[in-house]
Amino acid sequence: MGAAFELTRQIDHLLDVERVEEARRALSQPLSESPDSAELLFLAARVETVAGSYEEAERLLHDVLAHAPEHDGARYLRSELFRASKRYPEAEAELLGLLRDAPASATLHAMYAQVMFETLHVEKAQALVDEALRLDPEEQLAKLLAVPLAISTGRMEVAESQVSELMRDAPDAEAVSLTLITYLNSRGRNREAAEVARGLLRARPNEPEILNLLIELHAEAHWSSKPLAPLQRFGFGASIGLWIGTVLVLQGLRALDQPELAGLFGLTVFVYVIYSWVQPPLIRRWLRRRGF
Amino acid sequence: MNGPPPPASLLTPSLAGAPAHQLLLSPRATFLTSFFGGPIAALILMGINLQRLGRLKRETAALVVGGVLALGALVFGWVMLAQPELLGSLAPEGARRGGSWVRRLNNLLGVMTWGLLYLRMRVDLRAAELSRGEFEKPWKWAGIAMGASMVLHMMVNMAAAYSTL
Repeated sequence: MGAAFELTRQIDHLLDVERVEEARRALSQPLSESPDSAELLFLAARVETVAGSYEEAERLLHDVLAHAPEHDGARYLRSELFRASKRYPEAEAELLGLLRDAPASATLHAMYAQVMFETLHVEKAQALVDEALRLDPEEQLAKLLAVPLAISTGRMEVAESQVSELMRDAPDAEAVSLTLITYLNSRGRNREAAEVARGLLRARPNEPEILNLLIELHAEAHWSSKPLAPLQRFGFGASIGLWIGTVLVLQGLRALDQPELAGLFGLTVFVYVIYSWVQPPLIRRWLRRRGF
Repeated sequence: MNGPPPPASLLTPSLAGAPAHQLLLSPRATFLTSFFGGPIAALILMGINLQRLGRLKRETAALVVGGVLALGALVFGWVMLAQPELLGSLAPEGARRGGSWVRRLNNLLGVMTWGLLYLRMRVDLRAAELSRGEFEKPWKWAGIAMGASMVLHMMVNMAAAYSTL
C-alpha cells in the first residue's frame, strides 16, 4: 500500500513537471509485474493523457473500467478525453452517469458546463456554472468558465469581477492567466494580454500553444498593425462598417460626378483591405523567426 | 451539499442522438458573402449556421422574413429591368443602365437579412469564438451561396429580358 502511494506521488510529480518519459519508465516495471492492477493502469492512462496520446489513454481507461467499473478517476478522465477529442455526446453521457452517482458535485457540474459551452448550449452552460457555484462557491473550473460565458452574453462587468476574483485567489495559475488573456483580448488590451502571456511562457517554456498565443498577441500589438487597430478592436463590426462606408462614399462621389476622387478612394480601400489580409500572417512569420 | 438538489432539466441529455457537432461559419465570412451575394446568399449561409445550432425550427419567423427580403430583391430586380414604369417616379434614373440600383439594393437587403439572423445567434457566435476559437473554412459554402444567388438573379434577368422582347 505504501509503495503504491509512493509511486502515485512520484508520477504526480513527474506529470506536474511534464517529464512524461520518466513517468513511463517509472511505471513500466510495476505494470509488467501487475498488468491487471486498475490503479497502475489508471496512472498509465494519466501519463498518456499528458503525453497527448489520447487513443492509448482511452485504451488503458477501457482496461481500468473492465477491472473496476466504478473507478471514478477513470470515468472523470475518460469524460475529459472525450471532450478533448470533441466526442461530445460520449463526454455528456459519461458526465451524466457520474452526476447520477454524485449529484452534489460542483466539479462535475462545471465539467458538464464546459461540454455545453463548447457545443454552444450557452444557456445550459450558464445554468450549470450557476449550479456549480451554488454547490461550491470556490469551484475553480466554474469560476473560469463564468468569464467567457459572461463575455459571450455581453455582461462585461460580470466578466471583470470574475477575473478580479480569480486573480485574487490564484494569480499564478495557468488557467487563470489564460482566462485573463481572453478577457484583456476581448477588451482590445493586447499589450497587457501579451505581458500576461509572456509570464505564462516563462513558467511553461515548452508549451507550443502558449508560444503561438504570445506570437498572436505580439503581432496584434506590433507597430505595423497600427493601421489595422479598428479592425482588431471592433472585429468584424469594423469590416461591416468599412464595406458599407466604402459603397456609400463611392456612390456619393459618383453622384457628385467626381470619378477621379472615387477611383482614388476605391484604390485606397483596396490597398487597405489587401494589407489587412497580408500583414497578419507575415508579421506572425517574422516574429516566429526573429523572436521577441 | 448547499440547498436543494439541482433541477432535473439540467441533467437531461442535450447531445444524445444529435448529429455530430459541426463548426459554425464565422460572422465575418457570412457578412462579406451576404453583402456581395445579397439576401439569398445570406439566407443560405445563416440557415446553415442555424441548422448546425439545431435552431432552424425555432427561428422560422426570422427565416421567413429573410425569405421575403430575398424574394423582394428578385422582384425588385425584375421590375427595375422589365417594367420600371411600375415604380413610377420612384424608379431611379438610369435604372436600365447596368442595373447598379439593383445591385445596391441587393447589397442592402443582404446586409439586412444577415443582420436580422445574426442578432438571433449573436451569443452563439461569440461563444464559438471564445470556447474553441474555431470556425469552418467558408470557401465552399460561400461559393455555393454566391453561385445560387447569381443563378437566381440571372434567371430573373433573363425572364425580364424575355418579357420586354
